[in-house]
Amino acid sequence: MSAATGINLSARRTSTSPAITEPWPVRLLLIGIALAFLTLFLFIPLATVFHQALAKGLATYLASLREPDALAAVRLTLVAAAISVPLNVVFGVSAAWAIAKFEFPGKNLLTTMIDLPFAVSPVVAGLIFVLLFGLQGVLGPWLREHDIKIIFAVPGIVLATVFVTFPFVARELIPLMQEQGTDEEEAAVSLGANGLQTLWRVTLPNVKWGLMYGVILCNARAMGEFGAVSVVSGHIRGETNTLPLHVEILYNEYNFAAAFAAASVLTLLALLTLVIKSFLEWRIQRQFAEAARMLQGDAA
Amino acid sequence: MSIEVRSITKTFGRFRALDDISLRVDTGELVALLGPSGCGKTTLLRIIAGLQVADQGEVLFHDEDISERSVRERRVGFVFQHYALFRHMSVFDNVAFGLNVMPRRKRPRKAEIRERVMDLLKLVQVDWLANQYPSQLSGGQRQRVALARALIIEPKVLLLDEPFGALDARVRRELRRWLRRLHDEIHVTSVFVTHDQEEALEVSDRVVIMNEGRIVQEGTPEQVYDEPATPFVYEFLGNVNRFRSEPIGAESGYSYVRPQDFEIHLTSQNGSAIAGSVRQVLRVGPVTRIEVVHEEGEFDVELPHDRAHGLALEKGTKVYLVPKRVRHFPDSLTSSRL
Repeated sequence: MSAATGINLSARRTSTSPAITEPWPVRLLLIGIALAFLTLFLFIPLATVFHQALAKGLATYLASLREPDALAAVRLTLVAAAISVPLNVVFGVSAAWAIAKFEFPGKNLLTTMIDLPFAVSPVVAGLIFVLLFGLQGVLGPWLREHDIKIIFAVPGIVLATVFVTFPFVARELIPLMQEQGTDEEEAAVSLGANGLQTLWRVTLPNVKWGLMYGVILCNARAMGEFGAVSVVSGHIRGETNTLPLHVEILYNEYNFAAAFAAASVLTLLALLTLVIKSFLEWRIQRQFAEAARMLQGDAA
Repeated sequence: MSIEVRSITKTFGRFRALDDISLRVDTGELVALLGPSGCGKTTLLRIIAGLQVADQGEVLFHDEDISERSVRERRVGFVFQHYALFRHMSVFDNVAFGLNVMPRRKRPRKAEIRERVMDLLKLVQVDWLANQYPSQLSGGQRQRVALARALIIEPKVLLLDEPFGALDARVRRELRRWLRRLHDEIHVTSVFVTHDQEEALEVSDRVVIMNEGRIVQEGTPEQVYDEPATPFVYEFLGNVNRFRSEPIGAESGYSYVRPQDFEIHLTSQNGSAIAGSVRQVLRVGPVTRIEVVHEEGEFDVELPHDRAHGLALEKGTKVYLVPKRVRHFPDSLTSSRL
């Protein structure tokens, strides 16, 4: 019986019935609008980035990327991402695990708090850290006494990056974990697994694609973040400039070729992120479908 | 190993899921917890397993209080309603899980794990599926894998939550006979939860019927079916006809007769016969179901097909019903407690 339904469905998919589609002028118009929009807002800007970056030739392009300040900016961006992404993975997994698998008072509050960085403007986020750790800030005198520099230094940049990127992993995992329920965890515990074994052998493998998706988005944002980092950075060339800040400085100095060269690195990163992201989305869809099927019971 | 629960009470918010439940299951017994959905049977099973904690009362294994012990320490085999197989692991790894998570000094060697897993898969007759993944299996196969996975830790107690709930009728019948035979073979103390009375009556040594968080009756399948303690049990176990009556020398109340406990006559009988007329004759598999309309309502009567055929019943035929077995529940008893 199920085989028959399967054939039926696939037949319907290949030859769409005229009753549920639009006449071709409408279709053409809709596709046209979508394409025009994409061209104007996506393809042209994208092409411009690379066009401007290569305007003075490949040699200039490569030279502006090899320049010490540019290399320092790349390094700092990588360091910020390398610290904030793992931190957010640990935080995101623990938060999602707690929210999806357990009942406790204050759960809704925690869920709301995780979204806070999405709600707050990054500039405000940066300012919060300045007010906390800056020289005039609450902890300023104490930090100065102990010779710890946070604002206008690398720790501030990392802190700001962690703050703006912390919803990504948790937001991605919570719905997936909730969909999968707690049955498998209960089964694992009843078979003698401890908490860590359950997390490592059952929960994480079930959400691995979702986790990677969260990591990719988190990483993209960590490397691309401008507002919050800009406030706490102090824009010291070669020291506290991340790649996006570097682009801005070069642009303000009318050094367009170098600015766009640096921007093209970020753009390539974005394109790579998109490719990985769509692959992961496809895998996650399958995971959701599987979760639904496991609950329904029958497979074949 | 015997299981005992003493005065277990459990509430969810203001809902009383279990109300002072006490029950004993002896070593090697196969007991069914039977009741309509929401009667608390699954909650009771989960409390025995340690997956949920009772508000009050104790759980004893082998006459030892284990209420404070965690699920891990109780070492029960638990089969979940939707099987809860680990979807990213092969059938083999699912079954091996209970051995693979043991502390290193207790864990058997790889070769031994392999042997034990394959032996169990053979016992549940799915050894040929060892390398498949749960999503590739049919419902019945998943059920067998779930059972093998629970048995690998050699539990002294096996708990099954609606083990056949998600299967179609034919597979369900086949699997429950198989479970019965399996139990006779390995003799592990088992409790299973079901809302299907046929399943409970066919598989178990003893049936515990629950309603609204209490145990209404317990006994062998014959006892509960033949001697229902309350009107609820009567109506829950199989079809039943209910009518007002006032037997001689007894208080008025409701009487219960099962559809197969009627004799149908075409001519008037003396005394207790109830006169009526046939409204519909339906052939349902091996039996014929006859709807008879009488003064106060209607009765469902079931006759073996050949017997009904001999009577040549059709719509409008005048008939006289003689109940072979009647159970009377006086109003005073019914109203006090269902």
